[in-house]
Amino acid sequence: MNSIFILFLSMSVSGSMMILGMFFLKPLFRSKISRQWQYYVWLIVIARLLLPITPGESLVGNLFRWAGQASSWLGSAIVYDDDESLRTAPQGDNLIDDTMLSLTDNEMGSGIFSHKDTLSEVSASALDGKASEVAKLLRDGNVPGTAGSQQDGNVPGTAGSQQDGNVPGTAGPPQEDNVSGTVKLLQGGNVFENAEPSVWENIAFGFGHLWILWLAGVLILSVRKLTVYQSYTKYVKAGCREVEDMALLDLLAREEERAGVKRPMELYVNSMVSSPMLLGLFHPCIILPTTDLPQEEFFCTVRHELIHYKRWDMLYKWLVQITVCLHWFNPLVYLMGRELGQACELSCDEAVIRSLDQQNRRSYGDTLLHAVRSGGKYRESFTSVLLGESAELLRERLDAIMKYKKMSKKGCCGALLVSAALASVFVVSGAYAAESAPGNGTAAMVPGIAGKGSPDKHADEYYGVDLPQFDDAFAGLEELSQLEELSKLAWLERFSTLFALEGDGCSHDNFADPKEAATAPENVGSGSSDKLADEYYGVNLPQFGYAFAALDENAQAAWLERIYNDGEIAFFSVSLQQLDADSSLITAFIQKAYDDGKISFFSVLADHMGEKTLEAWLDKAKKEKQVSFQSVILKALDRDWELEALEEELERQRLAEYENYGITRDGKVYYYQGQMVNIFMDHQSNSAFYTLDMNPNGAVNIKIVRGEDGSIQSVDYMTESEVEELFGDM
Amino acid sequence: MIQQVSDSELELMKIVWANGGTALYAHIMEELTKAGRIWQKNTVITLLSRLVEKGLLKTSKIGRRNEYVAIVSEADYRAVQTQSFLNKLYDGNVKGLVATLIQRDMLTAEDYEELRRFWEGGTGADE
Repeated sequence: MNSIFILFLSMSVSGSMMILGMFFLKPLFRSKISRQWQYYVWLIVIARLLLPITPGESLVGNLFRWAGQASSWLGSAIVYDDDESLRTAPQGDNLIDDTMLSLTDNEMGSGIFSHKDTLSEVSASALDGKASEVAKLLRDGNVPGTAGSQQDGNVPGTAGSQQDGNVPGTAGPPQEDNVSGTVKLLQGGNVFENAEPSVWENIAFGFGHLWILWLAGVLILSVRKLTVYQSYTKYVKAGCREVEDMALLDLLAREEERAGVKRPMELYVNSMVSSPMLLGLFHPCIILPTTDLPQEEFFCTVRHELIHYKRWDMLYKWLVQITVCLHWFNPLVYLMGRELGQACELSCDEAVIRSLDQQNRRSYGDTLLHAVRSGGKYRESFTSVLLGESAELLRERLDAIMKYKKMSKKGCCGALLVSAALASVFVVSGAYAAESAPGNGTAAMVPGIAGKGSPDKHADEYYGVDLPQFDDAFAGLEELSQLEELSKLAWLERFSTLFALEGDGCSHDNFADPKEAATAPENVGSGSSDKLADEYYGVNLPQFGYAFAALDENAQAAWLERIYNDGEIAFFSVSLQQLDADSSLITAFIQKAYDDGKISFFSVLADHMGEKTLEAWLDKAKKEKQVSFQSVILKALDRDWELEALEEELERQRLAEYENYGITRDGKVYYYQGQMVNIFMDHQSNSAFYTLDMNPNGAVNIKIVRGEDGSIQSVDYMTESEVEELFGDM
Repeated sequence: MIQQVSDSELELMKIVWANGGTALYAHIMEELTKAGRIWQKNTVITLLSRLVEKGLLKTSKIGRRNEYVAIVSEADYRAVQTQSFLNKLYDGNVKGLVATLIQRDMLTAEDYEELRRFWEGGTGADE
């Protein structure tokens, strides 16, 4: 629904540009181009306001995309620390939409979604847009913004080389392919600790629900206009008498014949109406304030109203009213409505006097003047077509009658020119239609995702980091489907701040060419590195990295301390990239991370340790039975078979532990006291894993409650409210 | 309740009644021309549709042509109109009306005699 609102908003912006253009140009063509053209040319503007036709790339479309990006970036940059990953994620579309879905490159090298809004509102296109973008990034293995000086295969802020998607620090063994169901919460996920709702988020949320306000406005205004019109029609009709004067009726009949009106029109007189008018959309009738008027004036009046009828001006007026209702928030549209009302009368006058000789033109002017004088007290309703109106308009009309001349050739050219200009604005301004991309990375989506489309330009946006083969990357369908899976997990955000997805292909293995880093410091520019680091801290990951590299060791130590305490793992990681393996700083912090039990920091540090040091730590971890640390170290050492053995052992232990509490597992299906389990949740608050498994066939929802030491304390059924909390409004 | 109609409309009604209660548009136009009424085609159509609106006529299609059928007979129409005239001017008192007719010589002696016989014959039968 919001996408419809956004669509109208974008069309409003496009239309506004055209309306403004028309008002600016009006003095130029006002008296030179035919009034009829001046009247009908507005149809192009109305079409722009009502028809969601747009070329793939359009001014307003891009504007909205940009605005979407900017707002979501702004919003998320404050919410999250790892802004770089956010820069990559919201490249999709529909960002103003309430799907503030951000795929972040987290320390576990898995996709983490932070979803800040109701998922029911997630539009498929938005997901697709983002998913494909992320897919591209995954495929390229080049996450811009994290492309600092990368050591092979390591994502900054990544715990280690995680080709197989296993989560380090996870005590549990891999849960096979149960990707969507099983996720693990990693200890020390404090990168996302501060995912508290922020002001920005609230704004984004508010914006996501603006459509309700819009729709309410549309409904209220439409209903109001309709009822006002109805009661007006009723009152006017009630006071109407049929004109019985055969002379007048015959005159009308002759005029009808002349104008080619097939169906005779009814002629009424109602002394209450303010001026002659045409009332009714399909079978309109002419209502006069009085029949006591000279024959010439009656003739002019009738001719005027018949032209309104012939040209379907009532329909036009209705169309304008519909436009006003839909764009009620746009004051320019009201201005347009007013302008159109006047243009309508002026062009009608023009059509009348075109058929008159000089003398009759004079009496036509008299008619207009007298109509104002003889008016009753019923004010016009918007859809009745009136002969007389305000003094200002009347003056213009009389002026136009006096100065009437056939449009010159120059005028014709001008008319054509302005029409062509308007038509091109129609196309260029376009609309922001939420790209209804068919779930794959087709070309249609490219403008929405690639922005300017040029990889080079795009790379510029990404802080000079080259993004290779940008365009062909969109075809990554397999990744897409995985990412859609990922997006399904977004609701879990509700429950916990951090989830790492276990599964293949979700890890960023290769990163930017280290050569990139060599050129990077240039981007830093001159000035104090410390100041720069301060500037980029929490804002710009790679730039911070470059600034950090330029610092001396003491300053680096101070920074690491600060980052460590802030829990900014991504910045921690990018800083480590700048250090030598086994440098004293790393040794100091690894001890600290181990002692603090901060496994995520430990895993980042592990990537910067030599094999010997790692083995020493492995022994220590084994001695102290720190399984999570063991797993991280084994991963860093690439000792996969040992890791597997460890995880299998852990899995066995855990299953044995489960069995003590009446839980058994058959394949991927959990049973609790003989009953098949629907939702299975095992959440160790301070520890390394978080298992959430879902089996739609299951009958019971259970959760495992663990104590401080990680042992099971009890197995509980989940309450309704807990399930609800978990699933929200899905 | 029969709505008031304008003189022009009544003229059209009379043509329809004279034609046995139904008339084609062409016939009506023909009759009007004969009567020296040179009304515009659309004007006549407007009047006819007003009569339809007022419930004195209805239209039925004969092929592509419209036939106008009187819903109200001439006698009924007269009766209703007279009644309303009587109510309006004489407060429903027929004697008053007759008195006016006689006083203003609108009623000849023969007419009066005929009326008297009609009246007495009517009341005599009752006695």
